[in-house]
Amino acid sequence: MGPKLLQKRISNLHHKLLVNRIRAADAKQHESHGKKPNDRRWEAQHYTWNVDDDEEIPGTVRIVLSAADPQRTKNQVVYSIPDRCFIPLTPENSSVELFDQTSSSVYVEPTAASDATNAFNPVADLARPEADLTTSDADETASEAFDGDRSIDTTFGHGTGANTAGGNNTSGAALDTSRSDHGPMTEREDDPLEMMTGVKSLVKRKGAKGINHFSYCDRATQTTVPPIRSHAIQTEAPPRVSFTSLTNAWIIYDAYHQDLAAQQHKIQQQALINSAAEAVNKGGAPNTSSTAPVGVAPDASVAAAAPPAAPTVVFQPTGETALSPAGVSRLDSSAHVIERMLNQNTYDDIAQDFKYWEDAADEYREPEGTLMPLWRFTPPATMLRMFEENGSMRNAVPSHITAICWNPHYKDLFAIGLGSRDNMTAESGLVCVFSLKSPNHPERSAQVQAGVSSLDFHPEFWQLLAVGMHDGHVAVIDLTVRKDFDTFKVTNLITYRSSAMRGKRTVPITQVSWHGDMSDGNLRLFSISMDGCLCLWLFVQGELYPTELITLPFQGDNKLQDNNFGTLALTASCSCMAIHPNHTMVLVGTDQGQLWPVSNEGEILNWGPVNAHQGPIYTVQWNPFHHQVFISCGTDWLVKIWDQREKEALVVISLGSCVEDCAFSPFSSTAFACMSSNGKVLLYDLNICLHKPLCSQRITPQRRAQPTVLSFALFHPVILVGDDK
Amino acid sequence: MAASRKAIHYYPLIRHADLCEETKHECVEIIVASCEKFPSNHEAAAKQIKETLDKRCGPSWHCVVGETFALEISYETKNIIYMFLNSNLGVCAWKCS
Repeated sequence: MGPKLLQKRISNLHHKLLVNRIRAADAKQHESHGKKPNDRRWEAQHYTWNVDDDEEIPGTVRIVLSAADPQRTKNQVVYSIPDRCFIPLTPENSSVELFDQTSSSVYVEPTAASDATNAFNPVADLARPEADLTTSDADETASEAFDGDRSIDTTFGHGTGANTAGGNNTSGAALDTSRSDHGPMTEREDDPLEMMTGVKSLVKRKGAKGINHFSYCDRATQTTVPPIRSHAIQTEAPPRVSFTSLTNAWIIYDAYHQDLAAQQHKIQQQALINSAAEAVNKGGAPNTSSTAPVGVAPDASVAAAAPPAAPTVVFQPTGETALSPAGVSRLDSSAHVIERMLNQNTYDDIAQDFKYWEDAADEYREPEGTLMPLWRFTPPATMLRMFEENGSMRNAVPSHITAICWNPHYKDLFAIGLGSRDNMTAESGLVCVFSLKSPNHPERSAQVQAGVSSLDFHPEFWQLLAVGMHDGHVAVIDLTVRKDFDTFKVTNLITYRSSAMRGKRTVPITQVSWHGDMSDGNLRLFSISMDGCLCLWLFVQGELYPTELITLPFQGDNKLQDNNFGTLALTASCSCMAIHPNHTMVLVGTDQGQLWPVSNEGEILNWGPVNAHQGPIYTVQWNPFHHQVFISCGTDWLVKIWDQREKEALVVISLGSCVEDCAFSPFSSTAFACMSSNGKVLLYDLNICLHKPLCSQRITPQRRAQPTVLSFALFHPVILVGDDK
Repeated sequence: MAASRKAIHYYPLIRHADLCEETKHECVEIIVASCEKFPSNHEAAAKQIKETLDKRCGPSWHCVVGETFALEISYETKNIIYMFLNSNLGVCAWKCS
């Protein structure tokens, strides 16, 4: 048993010793054949590895060298998934490389991948001598080179087959097959080619031979993939309605019957209208025989009723409904009458007061008068309150009342203009024409695109209302023109207006006034604006043609003029004007406190200017009876009455507060009313008392609302007061 | 008058329709054609009306053809026609998808 196990090389160091020990072991083995197995085992265990102190060991020594690695497992298995069972693992190569020498000769492989093959398998080195030989020939003749190439491949294939297991082996085999596929073909083609071109074609052939396990390159490009987005929209579901119906033979029959009747009726009606129209066309007086719808109406009753009714049918077309424009206009007129009737009943007491009020107390305080509130208006967006006589009307509206003007023709008609007193911020304005008889609703109203600054009715053509606006426009409203029939809306009544092309001012118009002189047949309109310009507008054939008469110079702080604005021509800012009752001149008041008399042709008259007030002049007005006397008021708390021939004022009254407006009474040359900004209206009669007002009435609560304008009615003892609420 | 009362009216009589004028005429033509094609088979007529209308005016149309029926439906506005035909037939087509 022992000698059989001894199979391998034995190290030189221990050679003798081992031989001795083996011998001894053999002897021992022969000896101890009769011994118990127990003893033998003990001996073996005890002496197997004690090599160094062998001298003292008397027993047997057994050392075995084997080519197999004792540490390796021999029965390793792996689970093969395709076979679904365990298969024994082929043992890996456990050989030890003892000697390795690198060759100095380099093999030139005809294919580009030759380096790869060399690096890949060291066994290829073994074939190098042979390969060197063949490649050196290969440069000369292609066929030889090819042969050599093949021989390398074959040796390579064999080498790998012999040395490596699994993958290497198969790759070698694959190489072989590819070679065997292409080999003969290329050879066949190359032979005649080689004869002609030699080396050049060799390169070509090598390129053709590129299908090789190693000389092939794979390229791929991936373009950017656009990101996928999802986008969803949900629309509203279409509206649905439910519908219910019942159908049976009766209903169908009735429906057809009704339809037939309706059709016949329509035919009859048409025939009736046609015949009536014919009758009217034939001659003025329709006689019964011609209007009778002969042979058209099968219904005897209709035919009998037709003759008297026929003429009226013509004037009341059946197509007209209550909502058609014509119907609305008729409804409107009747509604208007009914409204008047209702108002007359509702405001009967006020009307009575207005006409017949007699204050019993008047007897005891003779020289005084009283102011009495009369009407209260609630028009759209406007609240108006009326005061009698001695009374006034007050507006409570979101924007300021900037102008009041009585109609010279209709005693109860007046127009108010709504705008903002801050001229710069005038956004939109409203012109309302009211009647005292109908305080609830304006007779006409027109919306204008900018705040209204001033209104004036023409003294003769009473339907023409001039409007000055804060954006520099001048418009003329014709109250008789109604552009649409919808009276419940604010109707656009503006018929003529200035345009930016033609004379529109860039600064707010402060006052407009019709010029009563119509000697040349044209209507003339004066306007003043904040740039100090007095402008004459000729109103010809619905168009306004402007002429700038004069621009008033600035006269105030001379220092300001000299130092800062020497080169700039400063202009006055006109605030008010009054046309002389004789139409000979215009008196213009400025914000600087001067009064400028200007002739109709635009020349400053020699008696002006008059330094009337310390601050802006709010109102100037001629006395309607004495044509050389005028009144003015301003922010310096003063009301002044002037004679145009005098340099100084005739009468100066201080109200102790800013005077918003003043006006001569149209009934008495000595009576005038003025209104202070603290809400009081004061009525003076110079004939009675110069120092004390005839009556004083607080119109608006102090600090609640500020009165802005005041106007005497031309026919009734009524004052209208507008305020800024 | 008496004669006209007894007469059978063949013209289509629209009872209720909120389609636009053009579509209404088209629908009436479709319905009349379908009912003439299947004078005794109301089901087939209704089917044809429904399919034709689906093609012309988009899905989904429903149609009732009959001599006696009652219906309570909900429909998309502007998409109903209810009419009588031939003095004995009621047709209602409506859209509700």
